[in-house]
Amino acid sequence: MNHRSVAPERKLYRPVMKWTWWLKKKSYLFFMVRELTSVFVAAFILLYAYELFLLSKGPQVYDLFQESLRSPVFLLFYVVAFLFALFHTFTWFGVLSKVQVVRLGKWTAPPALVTGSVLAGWVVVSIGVGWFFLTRH
Amino acid sequence: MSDPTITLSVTRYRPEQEDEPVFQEYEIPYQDDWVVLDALNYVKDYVDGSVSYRWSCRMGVCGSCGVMVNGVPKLTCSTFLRDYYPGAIRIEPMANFPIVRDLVVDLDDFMEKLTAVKPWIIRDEEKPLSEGEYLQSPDELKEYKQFSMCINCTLCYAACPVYGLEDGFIGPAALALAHRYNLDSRDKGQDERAHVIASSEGIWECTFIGECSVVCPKGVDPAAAIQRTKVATTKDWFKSLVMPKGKSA
Repeated sequence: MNHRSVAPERKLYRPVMKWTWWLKKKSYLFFMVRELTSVFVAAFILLYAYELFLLSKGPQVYDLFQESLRSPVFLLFYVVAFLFALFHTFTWFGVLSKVQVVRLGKWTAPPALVTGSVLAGWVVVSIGVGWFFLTRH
Repeated sequence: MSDPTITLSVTRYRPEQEDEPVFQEYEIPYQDDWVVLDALNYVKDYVDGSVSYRWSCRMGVCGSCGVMVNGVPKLTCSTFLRDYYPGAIRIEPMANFPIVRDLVVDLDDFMEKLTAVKPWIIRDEEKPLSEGEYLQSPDELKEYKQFSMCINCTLCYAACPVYGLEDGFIGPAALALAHRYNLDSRDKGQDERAHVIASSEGIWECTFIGECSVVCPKGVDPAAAIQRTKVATTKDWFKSLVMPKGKSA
């Protein structure tokens, strides 16, 4: 006689996630916004790359496009893209210490120092880039 | 004045009589030193003996009493009624798992994935007992200790939308435990685990929502473990490009 127990046929209920799952919790929504910021950052980079490409077409074509960038639609895009880029930067720098542990010998840098250092570096580089462009005009 | 009571709204799924879960309400006495598990045990003992749920140790060690409390993955043995009173408490089975009955979920998928990452110490060659134990310094212990606190309660799976959306995803706890053994100075099994961890269903499925780490009752940070494994795997890949014949560190 076989004394092994045999699992009876089970009728499992398999829950299905709705497409609105990301609206259920603040943290999920925060994640989705963080992902969405990438779209704006990518769009800004593409626009910038297109501007560089237009440089090869001569000053007239480039200046014409520059003029069109001063339209309200593009200005609105720049403001929105900038805000999303800030959100993107702060949220990713905030979790950097989870991704990369920084060690010097036996000493491990605290998370706040890791985030603070990269933020400080980012501010310095931003000021440097801003200074470079502003002083050339 | 009548004694205070609290309302529990508990998921019922009796496969022999229901096609999908329904809620059943129980109004029971409220005591401020009770945890949700005490309340469920009261229901089971005095109100409705047919309610099914898992529990064992009552002290946050066994990891078997995970449920959703008001939509958040919690251990019933460490979740106090007083944090919700006088509001009602909604108790549901852990999200993202198939439901067997009432609050009991099917953990077979997790068990298979946990086994797949080989969460034990692997040696190239076992040394004989006569040579003594494998020594480890406090610093070497510190490397992996927080990840070793995992009790396999799977609350992190209930909190992870990726696990709910992607059937194949290995998931937070299993990947955190794989990381724990990879960090262990006594372990030599990194290469054996690599094909599971770095597969398309492993670390790269994780989108770093981070909720797994928020809900962990033992302070483990699976999100960090997964991101660090991504960094380590990427470094290994670059090393293999630069030094194709070199063995990854």
